[in-house]
Amino acid sequence: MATFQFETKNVSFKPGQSIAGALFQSGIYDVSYSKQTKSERGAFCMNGDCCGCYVKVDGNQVLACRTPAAEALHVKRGGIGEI
Amino acid sequence: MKYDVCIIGAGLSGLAALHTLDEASLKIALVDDRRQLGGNFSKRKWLQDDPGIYDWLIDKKMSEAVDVFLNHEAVGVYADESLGITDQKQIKQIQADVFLQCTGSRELPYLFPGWQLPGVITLDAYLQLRHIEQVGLPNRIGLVGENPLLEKVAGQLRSEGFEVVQAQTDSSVRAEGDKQVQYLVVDGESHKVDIVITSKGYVPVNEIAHLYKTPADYMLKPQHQLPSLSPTFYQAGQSTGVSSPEQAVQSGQRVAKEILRWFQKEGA
Repeated sequence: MATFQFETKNVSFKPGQSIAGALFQSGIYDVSYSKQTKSERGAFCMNGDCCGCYVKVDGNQVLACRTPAAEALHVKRGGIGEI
Repeated sequence: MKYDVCIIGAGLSGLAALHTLDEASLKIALVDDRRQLGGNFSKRKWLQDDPGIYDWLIDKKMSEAVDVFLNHEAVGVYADESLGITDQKQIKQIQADVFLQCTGSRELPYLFPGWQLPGVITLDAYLQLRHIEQVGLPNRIGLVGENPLLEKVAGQLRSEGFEVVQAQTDSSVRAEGDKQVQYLVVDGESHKVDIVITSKGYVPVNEIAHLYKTPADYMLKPQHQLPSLSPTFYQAGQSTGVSSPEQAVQSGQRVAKEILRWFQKEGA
């Protein structure tokens, strides 16, 4: 099965899954961090509206729910308010 | 790029309108911010008794006079009233005689203390994860909110063997957990959960109408005959306040016929 890297873990995904979907499937919900509330955040709406699932993909901040998972991506926990 | 009609939204009403207009050989641009046709219905259909009832709308062939812009978001209106759309890489300018807003409805989550915890998701998110992305769900699921469809979801999940905790709308509810949701506390009683689904209902998405300076008068009761707002701006479907999939399809078809009458009158 195809995988990408989230922090130090390998996360497997199926074709058609977003980064958020693949992480959810692996039981990883705290994909982002809000500096303002100093708390973990995760995918909430899966629609690109809530902006709770910002992650860094190869250094760029993207919404995990709107970004298709792809082989060998390097994904890190994002920071809301860091764009 | 110059078109007769630009349809914003490729959900039920947008597709229903598109096929009616396509039969009249108009040059059409169809814009949607998703990567597939079907809009929100592609996930919300899993709450219908017959999920495949409108698949024909998605599968129906379009003529070559239709340009489809998937993964394109409408972001603004130019001074000449053309529409700016973007795929986040470049902006394209769509000129059209008629703009038709079919942007559907957005889910309103029910918010309660602890809703920000990772693992709390909306009903649309649940449908997206489960039915579109084929994500397997953990066993213990909390349901919170006044969306009547949650009752149906609870029934479906229970019949599949999930442990379901459903908070009634008049209960006091909060979510607790360290880094992610672990407990749903309902009326003082703590239940262990893996995820929580929250939903209050749906609201029309009307930004495009506001960009074209024609904000809608929301109708108190769904109506089949929808008003047109200006000669070049129309709207249909759930963005006008209708709620059922059937009404969305009917309003798309009816507004398309109204647009055809407009073209006949204008002699275009």
